[in-house]
Amino acid sequence: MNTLEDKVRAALRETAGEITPLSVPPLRLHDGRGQRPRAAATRRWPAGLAPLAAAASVAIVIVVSLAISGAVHVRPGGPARGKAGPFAGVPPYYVVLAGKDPHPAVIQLQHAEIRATATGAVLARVAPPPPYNTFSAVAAGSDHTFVLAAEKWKQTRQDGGTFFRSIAYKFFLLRLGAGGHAKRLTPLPVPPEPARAEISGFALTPDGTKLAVALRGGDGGPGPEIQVFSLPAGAERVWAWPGGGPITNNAGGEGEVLSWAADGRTLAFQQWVAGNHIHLRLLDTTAPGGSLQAASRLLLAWPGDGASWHYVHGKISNVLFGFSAIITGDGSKIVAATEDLTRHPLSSELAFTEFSTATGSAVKALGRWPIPGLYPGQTQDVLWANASGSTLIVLAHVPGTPTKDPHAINSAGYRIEFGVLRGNQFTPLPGAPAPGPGAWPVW
Amino acid sequence: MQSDLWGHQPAAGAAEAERIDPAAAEAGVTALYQAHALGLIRLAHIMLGDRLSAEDVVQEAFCGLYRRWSHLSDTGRALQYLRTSVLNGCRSLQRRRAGPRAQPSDGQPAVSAEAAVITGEERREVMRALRRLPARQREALVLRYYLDLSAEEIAATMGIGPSSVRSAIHRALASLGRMLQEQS
Repeated sequence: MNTLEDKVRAALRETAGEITPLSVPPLRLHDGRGQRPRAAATRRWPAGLAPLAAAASVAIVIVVSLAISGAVHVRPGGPARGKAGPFAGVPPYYVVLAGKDPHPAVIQLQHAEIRATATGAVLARVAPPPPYNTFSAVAAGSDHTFVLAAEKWKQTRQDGGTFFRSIAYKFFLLRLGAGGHAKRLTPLPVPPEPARAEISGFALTPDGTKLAVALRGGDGGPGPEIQVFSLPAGAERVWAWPGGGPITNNAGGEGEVLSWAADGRTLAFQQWVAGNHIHLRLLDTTAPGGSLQAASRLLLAWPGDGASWHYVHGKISNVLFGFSAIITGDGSKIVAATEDLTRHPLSSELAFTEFSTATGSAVKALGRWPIPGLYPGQTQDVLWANASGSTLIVLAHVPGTPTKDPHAINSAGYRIEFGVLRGNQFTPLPGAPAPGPGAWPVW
Repeated sequence: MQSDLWGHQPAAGAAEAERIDPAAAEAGVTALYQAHALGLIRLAHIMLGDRLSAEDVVQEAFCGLYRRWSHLSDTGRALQYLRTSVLNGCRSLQRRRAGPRAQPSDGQPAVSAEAAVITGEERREVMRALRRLPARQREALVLRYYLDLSAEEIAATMGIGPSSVRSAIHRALASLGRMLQEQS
């Protein structure tokens, strides 16, 4: 019994073994015409508990195909950047990918929705131009510039099943006009990646002149490497790290993997390394292409499995875990969703912590939320920061009493919400989509 | 990549039941139950730690399949549908259990041949830690290490991308290791 994986396998197998073949009850299909077969007073099911997969799997969206410049304007005129109030200084619009089913149990074709930050109102919907039939990812450059990855899914049949296989993808630049209207959707001159490549993230500079693409690496695919394309020419510079850890984030596949400083020179990325540690590195993209290890600087190293650590949140000095992390526009800080643990007495603290890019030291913790005991799961993320890091857009737990809200997705029962964090003041974003298995908003 | 299990959009509720060919539906669903009920109840039991609830979730999944049988365009994907339904059912039940730290009972461990490689206490610690993971991580871990599904199969079952599956598993193992250290 050497590895954690071995222990997990054995524990699962043994637990499963508690159910023996002879204990399986008979199938009851006809109680209530196929409705709930066993009505135990102490364990009632909601009437609407139909398997989500059934609903979602029919929700393959037939998105009306639009011309490249086309967009469905739902509401003319969007809010301008506020000068006061909780949304002052934050980008006025965000883009989120959406399908027909808001709570999909299976992957579905997606279009892009342009929404107003202050209200959540859908200002426009943009469909991928033919021959592409779905958007699969989005990244933001400036307030009015986004990059969308479009794919063409082809339906195939094999092994008795029907599958959608991605047979092509393309990056498009989406420019918004006044009021959040989709002004233009322009194909970018970025060559297709090999079929085995797994793109783990991409990011556009605020001035829209460089697109960085990360290939995750591992599992037999190319990478890990980072490619930077100059736009609109498409010239490419590549830094690779053969044998290096996968480039991805520590946020369960959500949130940002790459982020640019506003000077368009420094690119922050996260990498998993041996021992389940997370490294955050800064790449100088003015360096000649070649070795990613040589061209980048290790700034932060977070433990993955309980090693003692020395970062400090206020008075606490024990274990700190970092999750999604982005660089501020002025390049002076990394802002990360963090979880801090104290062993004696056992307690946790969720926060958004700022680290100096000069020294790697923690300089400030925002939105601190102490919790007695060991917190079972960390689902906070930082999605946008202003130039100095004083204002953030985050996905945060809602302090207070745990909820029975079915949209609570952490195992502790706390609701999580997208919102603006200014100092320690969190303001939920009205009308924002519920955080779920689909794509998250991008600012 | 995703499965397209249903040929067309089903209506809801009683209207669906009216269109069921009872004999065909019952035969098909019963055959699937005989083949997969044990495995699915075990899957739900792992997720919930509660045998009766696990049986309920699985019954509900098969009843859902029965109600929609006439809309099933590809019976070859029925197992994946059932797994997804069971996971959704477990998730719904867990969300409705009160309290932030309410943990399902681990029950009394059965003595088995595996005791030679993992002690009962070790197993309880692993299961306690596993049930404290966020739902997505827990599901990905169970599908990977109990059912030995590939990242692509897990992605299709959970409705997320393969890269998210890998991230979730990686992060789940890191959290598990951390929690087991805390417990030790």
